[in-house]
Amino acid sequence: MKSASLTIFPYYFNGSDYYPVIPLVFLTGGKRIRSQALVDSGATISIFNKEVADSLGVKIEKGDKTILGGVGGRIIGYVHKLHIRVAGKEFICPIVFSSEYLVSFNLLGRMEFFKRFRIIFEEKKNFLKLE
Amino acid sequence: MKKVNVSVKYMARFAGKWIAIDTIKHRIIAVGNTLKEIGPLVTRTMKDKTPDEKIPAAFKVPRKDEGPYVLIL
Repeated sequence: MKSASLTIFPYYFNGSDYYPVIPLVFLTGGKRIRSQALVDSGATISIFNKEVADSLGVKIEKGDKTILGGVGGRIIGYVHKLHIRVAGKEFICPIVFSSEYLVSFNLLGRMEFFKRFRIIFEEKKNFLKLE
Repeated sequence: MKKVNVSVKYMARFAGKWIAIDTIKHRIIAVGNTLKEIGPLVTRTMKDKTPDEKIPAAFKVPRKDEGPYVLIL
């Protein structure tokens, strides 16, 4: 039986809190762009801000319009399907880009990304495992 | 963009900035005000054979007044 590979990512500490942030690679426009995002099981779908869209050459409003609801209210976003690679696994992931999303963290949400891995949050030890 | 060599343990120093991180050595290697500034460090062509993990990764350090977060969609 082939054993599943395991990748461990230490949480980032911003001076007050620890966050489960992991690297990912966007494969788009003949380029590889390496970024990082917070793994968020509370997010139905991944969301990235306008600055990332610009760096990828994504025209935000060419995606499918959606309304995102959260604690802070509702924002308009546009869903795009992008090739990404995380921990060696490459897949197409739906990602919302929004000019109204102003939080520093970009989020890897459940849709598609969570189906690809067994995800373990080791909160006491401040690291995340992808299997 | 400014080149630096600082452990990720001290990323709070760069709150509100975009940083490029060497994810093997866990070192911050560059700081910029925008993603575009550090873009060349985190970008490779498809033809380039550099393994993913050896490409620095971009990250925006949250401002100190941003958290705590409840991020749901």
